[in-house]
Amino acid sequence: VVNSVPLGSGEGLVSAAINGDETAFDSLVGPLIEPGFKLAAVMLRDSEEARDAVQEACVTAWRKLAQLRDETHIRSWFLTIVANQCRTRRRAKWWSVVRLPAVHSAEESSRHDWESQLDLGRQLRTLPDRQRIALFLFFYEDLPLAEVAKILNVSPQAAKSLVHRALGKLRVNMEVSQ
Amino acid sequence: MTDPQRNRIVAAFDRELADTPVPPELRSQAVRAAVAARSERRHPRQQWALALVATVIAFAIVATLVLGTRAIKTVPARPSVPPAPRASAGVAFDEARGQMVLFGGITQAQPALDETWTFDGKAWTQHHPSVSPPGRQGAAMAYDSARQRVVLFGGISPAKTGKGQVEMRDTWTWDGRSWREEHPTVVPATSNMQMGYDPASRLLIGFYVEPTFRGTSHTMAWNGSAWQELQPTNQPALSTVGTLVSDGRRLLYIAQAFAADGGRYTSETWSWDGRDWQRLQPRINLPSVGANAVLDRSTGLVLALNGDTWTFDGSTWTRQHPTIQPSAGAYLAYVPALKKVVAWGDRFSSQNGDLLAWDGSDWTMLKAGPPMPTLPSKGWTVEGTMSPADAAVSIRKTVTTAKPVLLPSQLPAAIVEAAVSAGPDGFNVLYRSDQREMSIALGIVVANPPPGSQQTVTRAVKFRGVTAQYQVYDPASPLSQRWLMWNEPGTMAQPMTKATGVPYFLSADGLTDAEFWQLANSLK
Repeated sequence: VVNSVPLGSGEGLVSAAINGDETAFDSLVGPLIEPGFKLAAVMLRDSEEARDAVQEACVTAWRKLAQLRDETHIRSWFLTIVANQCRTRRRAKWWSVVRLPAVHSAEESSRHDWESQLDLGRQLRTLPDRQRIALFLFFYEDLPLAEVAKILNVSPQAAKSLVHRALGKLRVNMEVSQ
Repeated sequence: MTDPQRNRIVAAFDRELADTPVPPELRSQAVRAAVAARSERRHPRQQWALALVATVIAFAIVATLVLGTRAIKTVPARPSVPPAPRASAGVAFDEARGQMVLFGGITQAQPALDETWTFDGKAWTQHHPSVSPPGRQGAAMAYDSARQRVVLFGGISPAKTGKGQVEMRDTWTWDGRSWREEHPTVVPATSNMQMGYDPASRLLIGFYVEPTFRGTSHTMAWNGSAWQELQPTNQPALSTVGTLVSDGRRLLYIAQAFAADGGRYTSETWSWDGRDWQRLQPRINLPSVGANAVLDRSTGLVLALNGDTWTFDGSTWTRQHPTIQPSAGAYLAYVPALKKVVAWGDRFSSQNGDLLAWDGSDWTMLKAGPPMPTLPSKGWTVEGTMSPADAAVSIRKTVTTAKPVLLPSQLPAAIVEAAVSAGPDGFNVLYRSDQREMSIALGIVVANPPPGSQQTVTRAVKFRGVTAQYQVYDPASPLSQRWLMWNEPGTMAQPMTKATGVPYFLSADGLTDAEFWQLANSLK
């Protein structure tokens, strides 16, 4: 039965994956592993933790696939699961206390101050997590604000505000459109 | 997306993420772990599932008895007739839908196909969209990851008058179901462009060199609706043919040499950092013979074909040693469903339809295409690749009517293999080192070597008692290509020239002058 499901369309893939087709699941979620890992790396700032978070998210996604109402939103659906996993892991391991100050030493900062691009990177790292993640999802993952809001579990207005406040701190003057 | 400040933020994240690259095996591990976890949960439902299956079977039996065979038709397996072999098609991998997309090309019957095919790792599907780009060959295709569309640009179409060809400069996008023609205001001034997705700038980059002597290089960027010419300080300028491929973090351009560079024919590997091109200095360069390349996401290495299989790890090219080898022009794509790179057909041949898969160390034939016609041999046979010692035995056994048969008694230690073609009255042997940085060709042939450049030096030398011609392509380059041509006193059944003797030709690439003469003087 599984093999006769026509693969190729999102709907067919979701049905096949729900029926246990590993290949269909891989076709659906596989391309999202990389953005999921990057999101986890930005949130957790640790490669191994990011890797574990994505694997856990993958297990959750496979189990909850039947809850996916609209397959065209699978990207934000999966990234929401990844973000939730990261929050859970962060709460368990008090990341914000230990990791943030260790990211860049004063020596490194002064060495790089002359180059504005690296300076921007340093400023990005010092942003509050929610603002940082909002920037990552909006600019890097190119997600609309509505989807950024879903992943951050806030209203679209709050997501827009997070992006604005982050840009303000970075002193980057940009228009944020929906 | 083209806003420079927006790009700065993206680039800053890229730099941060460069320290935590995506583990290449993460995808397969995560999917397998998920499947394994779900299997454990499925066991409690087994009884319920068995009952359901039993009900379905019972229903099917009753339905068969009641309705007879005419009412129930078996669902055919997914048709998987592959496309006819085709040269000069465009290929890209549609990551959003997990499919290799193939458009256009030439078959023996049609000079410019307008067919759209996809391959998902299991089956080929021909699509019949209501709107489609006009048939063509040589279109550039690449997947635009930021916008999840396959982009097609340019190529050549037959003229509607039936005479001549038309250079196409149109841009199309494929969303998995239909083609859409884009109407950018700026159009790249070429029909022959390479394209690849740049993960750093999240733009699709097009690169081409004007097809004139020392033609200008152009780098274009596609943002989903418009082409923009970029103004990098440095650009590859070596050739009009190359391959753009992402290594997962940046875009690489493998430039194919049509002229010797420093006296040698090797490719150049360049990287694009979002603003400028930089020529990389791999420890070993990819030899220059029409390479196709793709990122093997299972290993994280760039895989390239040029008659051999090569991988690039960011610092050097390394030749692999598979048991079988796809053609140099095979269309390549990494197929996540197989977790392998697949190689199909040949962009230089409309007769090759082989489908092979690369597992990180070897190629396996997934499905052989139609049999290939054999080329006329003119009395010579290709005896294959073997050790230099076996080559000597084979040549001396095969060449029976030309005398003397001269072979090197002393080869550089790096030489490990020899490819031989031979007949009773002549032979040609190509000795090569494992990583191809050294090659030597020797044969009883009437050679017609290409002319050199301005710095090339050709002179007459005394060799084996006769006057020979000796040429060094670039004396300033120690490992420059060099060759020696002479008529060896001797006989052959069917003389190739009016001159007396047996025509010999010895050429080498990657040898110093001293090594070359040591080799030449060891001929016996």
